[in-house]
Amino acid sequence: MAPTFSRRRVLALGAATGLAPLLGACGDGSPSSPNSSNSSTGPVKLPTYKPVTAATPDLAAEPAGVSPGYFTYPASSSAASQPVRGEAVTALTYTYDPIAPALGSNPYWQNLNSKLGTELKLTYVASTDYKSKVATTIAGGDLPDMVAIQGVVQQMPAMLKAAFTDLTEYLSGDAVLAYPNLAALPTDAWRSTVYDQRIWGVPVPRARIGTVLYTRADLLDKAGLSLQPESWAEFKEMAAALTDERAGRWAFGQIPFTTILEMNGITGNWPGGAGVWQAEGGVFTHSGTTPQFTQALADTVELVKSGVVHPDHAGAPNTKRNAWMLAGTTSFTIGGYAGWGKFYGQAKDVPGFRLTGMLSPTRDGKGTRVRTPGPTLSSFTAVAKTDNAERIKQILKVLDWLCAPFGSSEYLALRYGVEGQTFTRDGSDPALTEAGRSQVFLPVRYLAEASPVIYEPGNRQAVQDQHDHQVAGVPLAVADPTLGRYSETAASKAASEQQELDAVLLEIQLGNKPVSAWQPAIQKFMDRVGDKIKAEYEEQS
Amino acid sequence: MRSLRDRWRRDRVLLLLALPGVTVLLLFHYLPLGGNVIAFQDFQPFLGIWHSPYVGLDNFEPVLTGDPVFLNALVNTLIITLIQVVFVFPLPICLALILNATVSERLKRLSQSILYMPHFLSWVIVVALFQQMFGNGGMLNAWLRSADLSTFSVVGVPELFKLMITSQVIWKDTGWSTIIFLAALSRVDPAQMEAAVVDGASAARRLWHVTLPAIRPVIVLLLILRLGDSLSVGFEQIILQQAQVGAGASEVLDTYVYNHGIVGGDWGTAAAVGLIKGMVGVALVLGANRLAHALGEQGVYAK
Repeated sequence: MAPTFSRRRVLALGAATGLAPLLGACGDGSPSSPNSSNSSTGPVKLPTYKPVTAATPDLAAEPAGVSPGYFTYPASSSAASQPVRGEAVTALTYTYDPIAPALGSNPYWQNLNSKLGTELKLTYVASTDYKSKVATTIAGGDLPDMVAIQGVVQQMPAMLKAAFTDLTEYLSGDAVLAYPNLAALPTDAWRSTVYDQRIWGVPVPRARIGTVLYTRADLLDKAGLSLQPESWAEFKEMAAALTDERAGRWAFGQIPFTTILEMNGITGNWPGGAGVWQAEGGVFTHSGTTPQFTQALADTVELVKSGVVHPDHAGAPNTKRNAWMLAGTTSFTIGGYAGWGKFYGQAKDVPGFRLTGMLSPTRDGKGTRVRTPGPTLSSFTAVAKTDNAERIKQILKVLDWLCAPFGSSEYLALRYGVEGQTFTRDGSDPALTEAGRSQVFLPVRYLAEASPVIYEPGNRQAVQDQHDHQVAGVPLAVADPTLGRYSETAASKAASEQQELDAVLLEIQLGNKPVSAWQPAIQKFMDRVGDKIKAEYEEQS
Repeated sequence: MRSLRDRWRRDRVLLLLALPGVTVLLLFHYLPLGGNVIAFQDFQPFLGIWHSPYVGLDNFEPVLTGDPVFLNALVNTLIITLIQVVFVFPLPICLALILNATVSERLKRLSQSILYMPHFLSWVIVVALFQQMFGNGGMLNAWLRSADLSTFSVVGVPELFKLMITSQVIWKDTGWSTIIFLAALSRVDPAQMEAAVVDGASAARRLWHVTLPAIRPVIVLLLILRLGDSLSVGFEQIILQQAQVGAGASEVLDTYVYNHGIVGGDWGTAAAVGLIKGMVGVALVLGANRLAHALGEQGVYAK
């Protein structure tokens, strides 16, 4: 069951798949082209999409990509799938939460195992340590049955091929219909599990709405401002109206750089430079090289100079920026969509608190808006290398069970545990007990989970506001053209150059360097890695 | 000359007592030195040290070709080193002399306790304190703003960054660093001092001819040790404040290693720069020690 696999084998396989030039590069600047034989099998057929629902949503999952909204939890729920029989399965994943109590003193976990019908043996580490944990586990050769793969690592295709099972024949096309809950996972998320035209795992999907410009709607209302400015000019006016230095109030707690980029018609997340590649007719362009980017930099400098950003914004951690927003020191904060729900708990004592999301207007108020989509998945769960078809099917059934939809009894067991023990009901809404709260920290949801839904117990307005933002924002998302493509240079060499690029960007945003400092910096980036990444992406067209 | 056996019999308890310390030193200080080999590799964590390919001196390219980003880090490091050796190092000596001259034992104890305290605060706290007091939205400026006075920026001004981190170091550690000097001062021979007084030497003369010569060996020893890690100019302190001013003013060799290695994944170059920094440190210690010998001091070790 445990596959024997050594680093030596990775090397051998790496060599076999055409990575030899990269490994053997001896500093002679040889033009290694790690073309990992992408064309050998032709495009893979992604799993057929077939949604499942265990409860009718109050707000529909339309248009495509929008999460369904629920005002209440269904009072009665039934099972959506069969228990899985067979021997125990082991898994390795990550967590962002504290450690949950061990199985012996964790009724939530015990209940999960008995409902699932298979014992789930879960090992997990903090997300910050996860990459090295995976690397050492793979190198040690003792892989558990399931491993969450987060991010893109060096020599990803070779690593997957050497250590994990190719799941294409079990999941591609209609084959996935044998696992109805897996068939309900969004197609874009599946795309991120494909390397060398094979499917390597089951995605943990994320809402596509991505990063949100969180807006204190109550403060804007009070100031008589529209919740949606329609141009760069209106945006600046709004920011100025929300700023009162003497009273210690500013519009922003950080520079809304993504918003300004989108206003100029380009997408991307900075620092980090995720989603910065644009493609047209098979030609890839780094958005940092476009004139719109330079314009966005100039706009940023103008906005910062006008004094609408908190003077201590630079270097302030997220927690502080969020606290400013909650206290009304600033009217906005920027953060991942996944964090939306937690603000309501933190703002319990803020009278009239209402949070909405603001879209980026176009610069001149005309034309189409754009939006940077979020990542399609948090990670995907791969199955350790095995030829035992029965075992693979059992593992996929376990993952299928974990992906049971909102409203099913499995979902209740996964998110809330045992009624009366780990959660109680407030009306039909489940509420975790004190003990339950720590027990559900068990990160099964980072192995597999259903597509996200919008549900804030006892807060209709919150559900409505989130759904409204998704309905307005999701259709604007510009698809990331690198999805499902792999660049070895991006995976192994780009981070260091990106770090230097981010440093220059910061200097410009802070006003320490002129906007003209950008051109040489991006040129250096393109020369060192950018052009190579571009070529690697274009090869896969 | 005693035989080895006699010495073993005499010292075995001491040697046994030293064993745990030596083991820790070997395991956590000397063994990891081997990891420096990645300075000569195209290191990929997934392949590990044993399987990453060797690339010769490729990783030293930024150093050899004078990459502006590296040079910026080097220049910043040298400036901060200079400031800290010239301005920060003598301060505890002055403070120790002042404390030593304090007549009231009670006042001396009290001021010592107060001066030691900041040393026990972590950098996160110290930086947060500075931010809360002097930040652009901090206490001082909030008050100035509410009184319609012009504000005054310290935090986030690249030109003032080196000054600011130096004052933080002074505030945090000057008191603590007086300990060794105070101990040395307590050993100044009272008889010499009395003789000087009898001879009619003024306070300044006594300081110059009696006190300072008495603590000179300690000063030289500490200066040499300080030079050894002088290129480590406060990694934690700087990385915590780097985003406020950008890398131009704040990147030093240590943050360069962190930003390129841990953040950027360019382990090879980061290790190469770290290695060079270590070598410069060793050279500084040896050089300073030689200078000390030339001046007739004992230095860190005897000739």
